[in-house]
Amino acid sequence: MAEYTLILGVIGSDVHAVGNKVLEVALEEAGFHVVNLGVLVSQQEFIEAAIETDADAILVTSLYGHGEIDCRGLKDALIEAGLDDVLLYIGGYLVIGSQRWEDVEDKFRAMGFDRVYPPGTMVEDFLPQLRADLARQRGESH
Amino acid sequence: MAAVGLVPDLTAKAAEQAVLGAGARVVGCYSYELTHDDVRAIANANADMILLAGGTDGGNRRTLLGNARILAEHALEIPVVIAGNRCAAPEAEAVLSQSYETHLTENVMPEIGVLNVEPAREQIRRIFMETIVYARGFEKVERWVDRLIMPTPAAVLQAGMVWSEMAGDHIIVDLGGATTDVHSFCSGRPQSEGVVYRGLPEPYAKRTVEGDLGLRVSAQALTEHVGLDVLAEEANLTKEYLSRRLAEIHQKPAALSTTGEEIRLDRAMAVHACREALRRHAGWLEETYTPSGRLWLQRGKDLTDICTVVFTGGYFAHGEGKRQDMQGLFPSQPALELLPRDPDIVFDSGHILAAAGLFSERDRRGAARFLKRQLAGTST
Repeated sequence: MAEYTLILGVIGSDVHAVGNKVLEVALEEAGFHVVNLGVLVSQQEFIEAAIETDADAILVTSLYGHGEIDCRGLKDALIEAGLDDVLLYIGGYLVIGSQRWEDVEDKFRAMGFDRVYPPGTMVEDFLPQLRADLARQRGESH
Repeated sequence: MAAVGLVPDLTAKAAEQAVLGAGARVVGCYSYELTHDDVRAIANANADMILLAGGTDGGNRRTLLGNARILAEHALEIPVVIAGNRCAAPEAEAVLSQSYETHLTENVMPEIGVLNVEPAREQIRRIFMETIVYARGFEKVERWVDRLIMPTPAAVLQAGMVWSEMAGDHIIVDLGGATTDVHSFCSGRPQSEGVVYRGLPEPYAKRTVEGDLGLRVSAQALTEHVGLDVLAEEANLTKEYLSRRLAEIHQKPAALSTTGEEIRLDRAMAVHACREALRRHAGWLEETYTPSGRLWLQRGKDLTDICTVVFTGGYFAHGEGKRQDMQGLFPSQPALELLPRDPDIVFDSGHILAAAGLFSERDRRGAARFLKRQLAGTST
């Protein structure tokens, strides 16, 4: 069985399924146990799946500009569910309009996300960070 | 039985579904960590067995093991079926085996979104036949029966499985004095485009039990649900008469109805019990708007394409069931509740479903022929 379990899903009323599938395949090939919840995933579904699978990280994607609204309170809910040490990542088209990426990143970091990735991020771009974060998290919790 | 899982909508729900599907009555469904009070409640409810689930395979271990330890402290002297995280289940069994008869079986939910209740169901049925019937003093029945003993709801479910092989997808509504059971035999997946399924997948053979809907022991609870005024008006009775009759039923739940008033009341209660039990069993649609247009989210089973609904129970066996009453339970137009549309109504007028289910354990083809002869002729 794979060493790390990742929860993957597209949050909110977002139905962009293609990138989600690509991520699933790529992360599985990279050796992770991927629990893909697909599209139209609510905060509650992310949390419940993370509890049952004892997940190490939650990877949220959002591609329709409503990410900020959909993710509001997610970190608090995770803390409430006893999942405060589960890594929380997000990537995609997170906001509408041409905002500076640094501002977007700061906003989502402030909402409790450990990593925030802009559109066009390739799997190989964030894999080293993910692996390092997972190893650090496991080291700290043991 | 008590069903124990982790998340209410995931392994706890899967555990409950396994218990119901085995024909057992659920005295408690528990999520997250069991408390000492929970275990005492299980003991006080005289549970005959516990199904202990929790965690997907390779997932959460802590809850299954913690719950095993809490149970071990109490030693309730009932069998425990362990159907949780495969990677933690043997350890949970080791913890429990000091003080319980344990049975290890496959996880009811090995992965998120995958339901696997059949092995646990089978295990529960086997323990019922081999252990519970004796523990309950039922060994006396051995004077009359040589081998096959089954809980009635499990036998009805079994009859439905045999009937589905022959007649396809269908529903059985079992209206009783204390509960109303609904069994559906279909995949229930979304039927149309633009509908997205949410939640745990549903088993092909799904049983739900409504403990507050029935004609005798649950008559008071049913009346509270419907409203005394509504029920009195529908049955063309005064409220005073209705209150008095409900008290009589409470005193003597075995009494049959003989007068016109009594029969009218049974009829009104039967319609409400069946309607509400079917509504709770069926899935439903929720509207949602996305930037790519309107979508429907489906939760639970889509029963709209089901062509046959069989009604069973004493009320129907006594010939009280009116076809137009039961036809009126189903919508003729698309609705958000995914009930069958204008299905054929079949009455189990010989009250043979449970017997046929039991018989099928010995002779499946014989039971199929028996069902066909008894049910096929009565459909509209």
